[in-house]
Amino acid sequence: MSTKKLFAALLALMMVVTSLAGCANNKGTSSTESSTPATSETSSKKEVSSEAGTDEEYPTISTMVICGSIPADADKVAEELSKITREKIGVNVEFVMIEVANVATQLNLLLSGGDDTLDVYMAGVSVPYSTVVNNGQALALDDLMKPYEADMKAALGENVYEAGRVDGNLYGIGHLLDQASTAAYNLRADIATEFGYKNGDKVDLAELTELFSKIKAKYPDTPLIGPMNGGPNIGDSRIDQLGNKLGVLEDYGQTTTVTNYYESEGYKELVGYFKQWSEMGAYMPDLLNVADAPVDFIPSGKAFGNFAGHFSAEMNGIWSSQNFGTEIASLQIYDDAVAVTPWGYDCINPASKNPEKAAAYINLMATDSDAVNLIINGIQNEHYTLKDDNTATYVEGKNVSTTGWAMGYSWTALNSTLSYPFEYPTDYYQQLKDANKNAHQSKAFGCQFDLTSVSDAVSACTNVVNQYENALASGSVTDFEGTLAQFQQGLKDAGIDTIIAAKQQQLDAFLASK
Amino acid sequence: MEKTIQPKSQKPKKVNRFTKDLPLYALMIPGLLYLLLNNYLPMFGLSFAFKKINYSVGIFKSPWVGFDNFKYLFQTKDAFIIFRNTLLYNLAFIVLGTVLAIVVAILLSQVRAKSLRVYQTSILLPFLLSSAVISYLAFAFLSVDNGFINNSILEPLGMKDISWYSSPQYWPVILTVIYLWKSFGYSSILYYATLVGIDDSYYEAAVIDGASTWQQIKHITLPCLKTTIITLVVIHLGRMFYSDFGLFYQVPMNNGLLYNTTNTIDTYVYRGLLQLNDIGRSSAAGFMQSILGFILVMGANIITRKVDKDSALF
Repeated sequence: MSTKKLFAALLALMMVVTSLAGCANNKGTSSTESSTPATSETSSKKEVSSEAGTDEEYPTISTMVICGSIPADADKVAEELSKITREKIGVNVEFVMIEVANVATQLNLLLSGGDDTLDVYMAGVSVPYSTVVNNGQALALDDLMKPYEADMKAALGENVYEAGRVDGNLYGIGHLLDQASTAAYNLRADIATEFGYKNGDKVDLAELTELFSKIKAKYPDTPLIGPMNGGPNIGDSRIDQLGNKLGVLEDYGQTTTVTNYYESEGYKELVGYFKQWSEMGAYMPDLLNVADAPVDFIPSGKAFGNFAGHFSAEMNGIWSSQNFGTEIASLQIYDDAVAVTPWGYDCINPASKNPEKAAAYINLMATDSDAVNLIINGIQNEHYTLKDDNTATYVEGKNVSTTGWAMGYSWTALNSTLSYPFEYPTDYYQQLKDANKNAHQSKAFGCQFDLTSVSDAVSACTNVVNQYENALASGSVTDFEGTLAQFQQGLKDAGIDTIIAAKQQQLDAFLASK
Repeated sequence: MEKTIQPKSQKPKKVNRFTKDLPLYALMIPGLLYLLLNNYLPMFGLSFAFKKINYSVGIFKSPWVGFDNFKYLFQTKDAFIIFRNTLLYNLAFIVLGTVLAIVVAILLSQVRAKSLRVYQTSILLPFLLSSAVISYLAFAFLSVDNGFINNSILEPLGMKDISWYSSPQYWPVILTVIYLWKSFGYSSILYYATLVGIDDSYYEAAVIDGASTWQQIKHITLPCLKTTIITLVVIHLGRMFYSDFGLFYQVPMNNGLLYNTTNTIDTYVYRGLLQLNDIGRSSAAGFMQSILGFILVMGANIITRKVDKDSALF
């Protein structure tokens, strides 16, 4: 009798242990399973093969796709893309959909465990490229990319391709993006017209301030500056931020001396304007805590505008008019911009079982317009329709929240210039390329900084910047000069000079190797 | 007694009992296993604190770096602020939280059984809210142009609006109030459970002797609660160097202007390492917090044992 009991107890124990083990297995892939049920290897392999016929012999490449919220038709688009990839490079593709707000946590988890759930991923959104390289989370690509090098360089541009080099080795392929961002002020178009401005006009800070005071005189009760992406978001297009703004190249990146931006004349001038704008009541009250999107406050007249960044103020106005729910005129603040090292990179997970195929996939995403367009705009006549002028738009009756594919994330693609512009003018991507070419080219273009040796100072300085920068830029302080002095002193105490020295040394080495 | 007389016959009997109870012991195995897997196995992660993690070679082969990962916690003058904030807030939370919880538990024990459930549920509700929800509840009170306090309290009284989110001096009070509001329901129920167990005959005897309610509380209720109070306080001391991340990050809305009074060890580490994704350094912070907490718990327990042996935790 008692042996029977013992046996029962052991059985119960085994059940507990196996269920625990099951938990551990699921954890790593749960994020992907929720979105793409066909990715769980054990349970659904059969389904996949029955769906797609003879694809069993092809290996599968899983790739990270960034979206706002997980779209309904992810599997459908992946299957459509697999049709192209099976024919051209002999692989199936599956998507690991990651919501843009969760990239930092999910990507880190996917890359930590030596897990091969993810083959190709994008570094640069929340997780900087230098971090993944430094953590050993990206495979060295020089040999893998050899067969495609010439094509890729032709498609992306040599400087973008080469920008992924760290210590002479290529760990990621730079995205062809808007490398030269310019600061712009979005103003409700009817107000702009009233005061003699139109979309795309250039102003400088002094002229903008004058415009503010004119508008304020006529509409004293309406603030002029609301939030964008949860902050004041006013950039400075005169500097190359060298990644994190701790140590920058001033003068549109035309100098080779790394300096402290927050001590510069340009920043001091900007803070002076923050003060003026604050005194005239241009800021929305409590700007730092207002989580409203522009569509919530600009059409309703709660505020007349906000700041944004884009390679072209004119295009920014077009984009904003579609997204803010009212016509917007976007005014360019600085007269020029500087083209800097790309921030987005396609990398291969070192745990990938098919690195060669992953490299072929990256090449496809840089050179094949069908594949690129599919991943950006979805399936034709299902997610987008093509207009006569070769630009894409929503299919009848659909919008950003009802369509089945993640629209509006072309900026996460390796080479979006091969896709149809979505609700932009026909020459949108030509303009983007021109803007990259015509902007000042930073002297540090392609230099990847490795700040591991000064990471204590970086984390301390990051805390100081978080404390003061947005507080100043949102006009939330009362004593601007005093706060600026505290800010500068805080950075000094936190060791910004060691960061600047480290960047300078690496920049010098980079320039010497060129 | 038996033992000293017949030590030899006792032994085989003991073994017998063990084999007889073996199935019962086996029932303990899942629990032990869980404890081992959940609480002891992760302790090998403590070694992360002394490594420079490199994912391509794996955690075990990553190089050792000694105490390098701890340096950033003490490097700047922020170190003083974050340690001060963490300790002072926790001190306030322990003292005020315990007092409030006991008061509420005693009040609960006085109300009629019918309405008890309503009270219990309503005071427990805040404990179940997530910090993101609480942060917006707080925002509804404190917002400059639409906030309840500015619009419905200060203005009718003819006082000037206060810009709460740019005035760090108010936040120690705000955060303490929010913490107490959130947590008092849960801890008062712990005390209430002990209160229910006190024998009614004590109170009856006291009433016959003419003791007032206050005297009953002072001489019966509180002494009976002593062990529970000590246990809960000592457990809380173990978390003295931790802070409720949601409370200190979400509720002040990560506002830079408030860092002086809202920055704690956890929020500092989070803000500083978010981009670097350096698990060595973040483990170092956690390591330090748990070691200091461990020392505090042991210390507090030793002191308790010296003063009153029966009340000590172990």
